[in-house]
Amino acid sequence: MEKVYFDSRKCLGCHSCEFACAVEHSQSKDPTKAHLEDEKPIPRRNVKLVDGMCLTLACRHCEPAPCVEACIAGAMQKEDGQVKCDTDKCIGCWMCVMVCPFDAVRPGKLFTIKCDMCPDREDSYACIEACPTGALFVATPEEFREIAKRKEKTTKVEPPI
Amino acid sequence: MKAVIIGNHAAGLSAAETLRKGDPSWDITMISREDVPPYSRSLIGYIVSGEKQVEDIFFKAADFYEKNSIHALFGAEVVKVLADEKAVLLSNGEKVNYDVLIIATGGTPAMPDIPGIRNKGVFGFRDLNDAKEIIEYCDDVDTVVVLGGGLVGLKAAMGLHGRGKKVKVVVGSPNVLSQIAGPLEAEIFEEYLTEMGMEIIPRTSPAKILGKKKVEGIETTTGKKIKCQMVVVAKGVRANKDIAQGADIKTEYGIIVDEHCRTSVPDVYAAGDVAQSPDNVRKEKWMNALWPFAVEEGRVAAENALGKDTVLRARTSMNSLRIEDLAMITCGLTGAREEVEGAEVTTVKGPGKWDSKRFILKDNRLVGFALVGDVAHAGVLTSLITKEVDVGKVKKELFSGKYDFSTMLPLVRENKDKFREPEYEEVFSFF
Repeated sequence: MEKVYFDSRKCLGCHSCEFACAVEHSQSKDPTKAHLEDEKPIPRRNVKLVDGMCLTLACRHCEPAPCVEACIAGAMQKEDGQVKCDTDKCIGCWMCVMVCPFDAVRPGKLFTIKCDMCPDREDSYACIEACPTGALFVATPEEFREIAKRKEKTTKVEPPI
Repeated sequence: MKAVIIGNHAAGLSAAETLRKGDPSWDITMISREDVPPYSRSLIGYIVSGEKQVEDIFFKAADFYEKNSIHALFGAEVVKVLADEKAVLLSNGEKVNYDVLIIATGGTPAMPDIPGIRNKGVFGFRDLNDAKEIIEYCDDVDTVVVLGGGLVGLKAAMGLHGRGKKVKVVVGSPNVLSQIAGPLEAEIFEEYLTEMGMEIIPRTSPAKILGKKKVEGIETTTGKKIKCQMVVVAKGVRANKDIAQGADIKTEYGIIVDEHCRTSVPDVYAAGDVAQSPDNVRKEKWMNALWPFAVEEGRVAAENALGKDTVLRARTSMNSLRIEDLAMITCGLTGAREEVEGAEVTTVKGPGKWDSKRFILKDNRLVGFALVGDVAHAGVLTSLITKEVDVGKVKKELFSGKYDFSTMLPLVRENKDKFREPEYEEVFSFF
C-alpha cells in the first residue's frame, strides 16, 4: 500500500501536478485537447500558496477514513490502504464532502471527485510524473515516516533536458 | 471470545467487520429482525421512486456474513438483556450468551397517536419493508400527504414525487428542515420543491386520519381537510432502547454511551441510532442519529471490545441533503430553534439564485454553518467546528465565502495539539 506524499521545500507551486491530474481524468488524456472537451476535466489535486510556502494536496487516504464511514451508498471504499469512490454506486449525496477535513473530496456534477490513484496507469501516477522538481513522491506510510524523520531531500532533481 | 451484535445495519455491520478484521478467532453472532442482505436504509427513497432496484442499494456484498464467518440470526428479536447472566433473551425464549454485547438496534418511526393512524395506506419511512409496502399500495394513489418536513420526510416526498404522485408535505413548524436549518435555508428548499410541483403546508398538524379502513385524507387540528390516499409519517424516530430496561443500562432518549461507546454496564456497548453519544459543541450527550456516526460508533465499540483504547472523533450534528440539483450541508447549531446567545451570525447570499451561506460564531469559534447551493469545501468548516479552534484570523475569508483547506492551514499549524491525526503530520512534515 502506497500513497503520494510531497516535500513542500521542493514545491514551486507550478501547478504541473494539477494540470497533469486534470488531463489524466479527461476523455482524451491529451494535454492539447483536454480543455476542449464538453465536460472539462477536474483535477483531484490542488495547489495553493500559504504563508509563502506551496502546498499541493489530494486525498490523504486517512486511517480510519471519515469519508468511507460517511458514505451511505457504499460507494466510498478502502482497499489496500487506498480510498476509492465507485462512481457507479455514488449517488452524489455529498456526505463525504461534509466530513473530509482535507478538502480533498469535492462535489462533481453527478458524483464525488477525488484522487483515484490513476487507475488507467500501470505503475505510475500522473502528478508525480509531471512534477519537475521531485516534490511529489510515492512511499508507504512507514517509509514516509522514516524520510520525514530524517528530513532529507527525497529524490535527486534531474536537470531538464 | 463471543460477541453478540443486535442489529444488522450501519452500526452493527461496521462493528462486525471491525471485530472480524481485528481478531479472526472471535465467535460473532448478529441478531436482526430484518432478514435481508446488508442494504442502505438511507437510499429507500430511490427504491420508491423506481430509480434503483433493491440490489443497487446493497452496501456490502450479499456473502458478507459467510465471508466473515458471522452467525446470522435473522428474523429473530431480542426482548431483554440479561446482564447478570451475560446473555440476551430472544422472543422465542432462546438465550444467546455473550462475552461482549453491542446493541445497534436503531430506531422506529414515531407514529402520532391520532385516530386512523392504523388505517390502510399509512406508512412509516424507515426500512426496505416500508418501501416495498408503499410501492405495492401506490397504484390507486393519486395524492400523498407526508407528515413531517425533515430529512426523512423530504426523502419520502422525493421518492413519491419520482413515482408520479402528487405530494403534499405537512409540517408542524413554520418551515421544513427546522431541526437542521434556519428559515433562510428552509425557504430556499420550499421554493425549489414548490417549483418541482410539491405543495408545502406549514404550521399544520394532523388531528386525525380520515377514511373507514383506507386512508381518504387527513383532518388538521384546525379542522381543515386534505384529501389523499396515502399518508407517510416522518415525524422523527424513537430509539429502540426497550431491551436495555431491566438490565440497568442507563438510558435517556437513547442508550447513554461514553466516547468509547461503552454503556453503563460492563462489556455492553451501544452504537448507531439507538445510542445517545457525546456532542462536543452542545457539551452533552445527544441523539445524533446519523449514518457516519453509526458506522464510527460500530467501529469504536468493536475496537474497544477488542481491547484497544479508541475514542470517537470530536463531533456534533451534521447533515447533507441533495434534492435534484440543489444541495445543502449544515453542521452544528443551525436549527431553527437553536438560538445561540451572543452569537455572531453572518449570511452571504448568491451569486446564484439558490446560493446561500450562513456562519454562526460564538467567542470567535465556529459553532455552526449552513451552506445551500455551493457546498464545496464544507469538510474544512466541519473540522473547524469540531476542533473548536479560534477562527478570528480567518474570519474575513470565511465570511466572504472564499475558503478551502489552505485558508485554515495557519490554524492547523497553530493548534497542533488539536489536529493530531497523522494525516496532518504528513501534510506539514517538511514545512
